[in-house]
Formats: sequence, C-alpha cells, structure tokens
Amino acid sequence: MDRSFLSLKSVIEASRRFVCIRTLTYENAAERDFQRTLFIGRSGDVENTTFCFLGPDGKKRISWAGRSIRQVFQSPDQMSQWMNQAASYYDAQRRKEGLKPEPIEALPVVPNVRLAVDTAAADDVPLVVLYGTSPAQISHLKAAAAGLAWKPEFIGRLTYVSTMQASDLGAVQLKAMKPGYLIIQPTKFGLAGKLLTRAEPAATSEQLTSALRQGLQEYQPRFLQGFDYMRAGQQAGAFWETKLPVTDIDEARARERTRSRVPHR
Amino acid sequence: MSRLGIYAALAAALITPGFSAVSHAATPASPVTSESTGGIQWFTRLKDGLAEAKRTGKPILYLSAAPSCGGVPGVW
Repeated sequence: MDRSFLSLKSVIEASRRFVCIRTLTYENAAERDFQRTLFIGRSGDVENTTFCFLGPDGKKRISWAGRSIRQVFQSPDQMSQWMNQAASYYDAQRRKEGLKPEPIEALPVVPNVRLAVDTAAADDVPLVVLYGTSPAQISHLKAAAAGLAWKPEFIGRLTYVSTMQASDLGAVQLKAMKPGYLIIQPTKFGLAGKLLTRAEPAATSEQLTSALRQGLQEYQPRFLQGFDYMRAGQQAGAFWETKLPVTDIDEARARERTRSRVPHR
Repeated sequence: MSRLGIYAALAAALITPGFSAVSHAATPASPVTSESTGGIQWFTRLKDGLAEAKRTGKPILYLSAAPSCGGVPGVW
C-alpha cells in the first residue's frame, strides 16, 4: 500500500468527500472476486494491492485500475485535485436530483478481532473493540462509537471491531475482559493486543470521548519501520496465515522465505 | 456538462505521461500528515462501504491491501 500518497494532507482532506473502502487481500472470497473484476496481475490472479476509483454504485469505474496509485497518478497533488473534481461532479449530480448531501454515518468495522489487531498494527493506530454480550448491546455500542468516529478529533485515528465472543479476545491475548469499549494497543507485530483503557457499555458520549482521548494519548507508536520492522518480525517468528491462497508471485516467494526461517512451522 | 463529458474529462485528467514502478517493500509513514487532519477512515468490509456509498451518493476510493508483507503481520 502506497502510504506516500495516502498519508498526505491534501489526499486525506479530499478523501472526506469519498467513501473509502480498503478490503483485506486474501481474507474474503467474495471480496477477492470483486478485486478480480478490477485488476489482474501477471500471475493471472489478484496481486497484493489493487487501486481504483468507483462511482457511488460501486460498479462504474471512474479511474483506471492498477496495482498501485503511482500507476494512475503522478503525484499526490494531481491525485487530490482529481479527487476534488470527481467529488464535485457527484455533488452536482445529487443537487440536480434534488437530494441533500448525506454525511457518512456507519461505523467502519473490521470483520474480526484477529484481523482488526493486524490492521490497527499496520496503520499504527489504537484499536477500539466493541465487546458486548448480546446483539442489542453490540448495536448500542456501535451506534455510540459511530457518533464519534467521523468527528474531526477521531476520524482516521482509530480502527474498530465488534465481538460477542470472549474467545475472539483470547485469540489476541486479551483475557478476562468485561463488556464495553476496549481501547487496545496492538503488540507482537499485530498478533496480540494490550488494554490501554476502557469505557463501560453505558458510557455517555462524554465518557466515551474521554476514553478514546486517553487511548490515543497512551498509545505507543511503532518505532521500527520498513525493512527493520520486517527483519525484527522474522526474527521473532511472527507469521501471518492468510485465509485464501496468496496469488501475488513476489509475495508468495517472500512468504516462503519467511516461513522457512520460522523454526516451529 | 453531460455525464459522458465529465467522465471523458476525468479520464483525460488521468492520462499521465509516465508511469513509475512501485516498490513492493513497505514504506515508512510520511511525516507530512497533519496532526489536525487525522488519516483516511477506511471501511474494511466491502458490503458496508458499498452500502454507505449508495446511501450518500459519494464516489468510492477503493483499495485492497494485505496487512502483512512477506508473511510478517502488522505492516502494509
């Protein structure tokens, strides 16, 4: 993923006018099939990354698709300018149809806790686990978190996931947790988590805001980057088993090299 | 401008004179991100993002990426 574009202010600001979808490659068959419709690499199947802009229907391509953003845009400034033009076009379409602008409201959640810890680690942000004991309680937790997730103070600074299973928490070494909002520091290369702080299920918006702020303040950013991180992960024996076969030729080879260095696998 | 016209304009804007290769390796986070901006807020489940795009009429920035590199987790 090309963070040299996606972490720049002009692109981030333009992204507020889009629904931003980042599926997790090799983790969901239906999403892989969707990815296949946009870009196929030299292996004849999906590669690690795919990038494209789509219309609101999710079907119409409004940009070229490629493995990376650099295959489509020359610079972040060109990308953000193009994004603003495209967003203005769709804003105008809605006005023509007599429709008012609709803000994004849904809480973006990662499919499961294990993937959520991994994703939060990769983004280097805290994870908010909405841990409930019933569907009704999960709905309540989601609604409250969604009310804050899109506010300028928190947007793009947190990852979210929900679960009703204590075993999901145990799988990432979070044990004996009470229901509520659990703000987590990813550890062990995204394979485990540590509780930073929590809020009760009945927390008010102010109390939840305070807990999220505390989690962000206590969060320790990753200090290893790039190849240093990779080397440390290999030495620690950290290895990610994907749900689906890895079809990117270079990535598959790199995985085998890493796997061969992990003694117990 | 007609839908076809705007699409043609958008497509033309995308025709760049030279494409550069992209390293597969993970890159460090850019320091340019503003404290006040935060980051991109991503929908991770395709169906959730598509539903929100349909509801709001907003276009979609779509990306698929693996949160592991060479088998090492916790990195894009």
